[in-house]
Amino acid sequence: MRELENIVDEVVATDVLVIGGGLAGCFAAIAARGRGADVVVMEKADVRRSGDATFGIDHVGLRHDDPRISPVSPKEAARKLRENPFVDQRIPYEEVLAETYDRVMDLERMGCKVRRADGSFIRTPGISPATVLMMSVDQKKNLAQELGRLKVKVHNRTMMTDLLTYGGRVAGALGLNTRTGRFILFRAKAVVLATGKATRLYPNHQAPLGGFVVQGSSPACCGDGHAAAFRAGARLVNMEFSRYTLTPKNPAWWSSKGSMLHSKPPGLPEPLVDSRGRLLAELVQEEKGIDMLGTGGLYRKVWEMLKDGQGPLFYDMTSWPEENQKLITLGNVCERPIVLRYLRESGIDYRTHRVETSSLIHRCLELGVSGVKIDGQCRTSLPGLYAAGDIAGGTFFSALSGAITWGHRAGRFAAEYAACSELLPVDPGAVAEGRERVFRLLEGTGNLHWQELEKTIQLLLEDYVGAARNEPRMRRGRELLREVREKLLPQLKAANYHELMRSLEVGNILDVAEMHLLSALTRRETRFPGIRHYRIDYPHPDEENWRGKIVSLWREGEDIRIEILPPDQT
Amino acid sequence: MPNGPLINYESCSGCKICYEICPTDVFGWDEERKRPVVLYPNECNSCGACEFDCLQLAIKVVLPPWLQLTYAERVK
Repeated sequence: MRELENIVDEVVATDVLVIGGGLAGCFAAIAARGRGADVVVMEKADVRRSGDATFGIDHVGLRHDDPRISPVSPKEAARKLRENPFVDQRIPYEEVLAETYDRVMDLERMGCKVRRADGSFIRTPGISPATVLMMSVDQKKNLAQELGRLKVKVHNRTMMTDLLTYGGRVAGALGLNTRTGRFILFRAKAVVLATGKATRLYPNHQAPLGGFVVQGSSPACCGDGHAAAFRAGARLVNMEFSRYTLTPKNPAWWSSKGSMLHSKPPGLPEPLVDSRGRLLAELVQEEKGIDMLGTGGLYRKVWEMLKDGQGPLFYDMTSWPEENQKLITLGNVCERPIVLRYLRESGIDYRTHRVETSSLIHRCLELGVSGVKIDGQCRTSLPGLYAAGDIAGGTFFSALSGAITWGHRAGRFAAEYAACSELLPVDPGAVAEGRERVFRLLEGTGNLHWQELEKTIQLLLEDYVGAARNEPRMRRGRELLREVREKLLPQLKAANYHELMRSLEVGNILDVAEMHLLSALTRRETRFPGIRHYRIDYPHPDEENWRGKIVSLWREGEDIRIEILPPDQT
Repeated sequence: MPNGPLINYESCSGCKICYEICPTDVFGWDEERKRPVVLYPNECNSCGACEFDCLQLAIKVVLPPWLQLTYAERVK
């Protein structure tokens, strides 16, 4: 251990280490602490306003046996999920879905307003009758307070740079304080990965001069956990699937979009119209296939129309009943209050104005589908490593309900694992290597700025994978990504600790980009309506060969291994 | 044109909350003046956390020019 202390600035030992202090990570920490475990949270920003939620999320899906609480029972919802041939049947969905209500009540106990004074929920039935409004802009602050009350040790401004393994099991992680440069070794009996979704893979047209400006998701969630899990040998699944989104153009931006969809009068389609006021949903012949993921067919149409120069397209909520229009505003207040000022200043009122849509934005890899594969106990393929929230792959259950439910489960099961495990030894050589990988970015002779490399990777993915994919382009893209890794990556140079964080992020984005491209190349069919994975060389679903088949990949030494498996064998 | 968080130093009390909570680490801290500084405006995600949490109402998040246009039509 003496030797280790010469390599790192601090050694922290704990039972359960939670990486990422968003909604899932906070719930994991609370649950593990509740089972008596010593818990440490590593958070790249500050738990009070971090994760993809920043403030919180304005809606949550509740399933309950009491029809006064939810018109959809956990059993019924689970049955529906199980019809999906890509779902892992081993996951006890009845049990998982039923827990969401308990977690929402946990939030209420922490101080979040989730019900009216008379105990009733406000329904936001636009997408599902089971969805209710969360009336709290301080979900993250309340969770942070709860961590404090439970004496969970939080390391804010600390980025996980690598997971550490020993004999094929997880032994902890390395962390960099991005303000002070302190390099910390976290030793843990169990580790929960809760680093969120993988964004920043494709160019952000809202930020033409680089940077973030208005990113569909928090740019802090850029696949740090995906990349570290991959480097440590864990299995990732479904990395080919993309989530494209269409948002009202700024300043009525993306946060408004989620609120808008959930506020929709039930039964009405997404209120997209063309310049003549015709509802796009009525123009679209819905594609045949299993659309377990929502609005696929419509977005495919939008993508084609915008590509062919047929815009502008608008969101038109002017004919909605007043109560639904009000729900949008309530959602904004609860999720991202600044949106109201942006709207006011530009003179936009949903009751009287139709709002122009952006172009289609690649927001992230598909939620609840792409990511680190977990089982019903949130175990990954690496013993001791758990994952929860948006990073968890193959669950088909994400967002707020997924984050708090999987988060709590991951914390519980990780604490149980930790209770019957010992701290594993840490290999000083691996720690030294991990440190060298980080700090050479500060000390090297390169002159490549992280934004230049990020843009290079994004343009490459847009040109060689993108929305319409084919074999020859992806093969070229694979070569070019290899060239990026060999020629450009070594030239990255960071001027300070903040840039060091960004440079490490771009390295992670490159890892995720590679997984995305390889998975997309492997799946020789088009799957799911819309442009989640649209292969122009295989333009239809191949039910015979690909129905219920998952692309699973992991690293063995320097090699990337790919397997095509049924979901319950991943 | 400056965009991202704009700090009104006449109202700022130096409480550090913006520097502490910014999800994208846009702020630095000027130890001499005990005040926050905007170091990376183009990494601002316009989330508004700093503006919302500033007790002195000393911060306003400004969108870049191409996002300040109206992009809407009155139909009613």
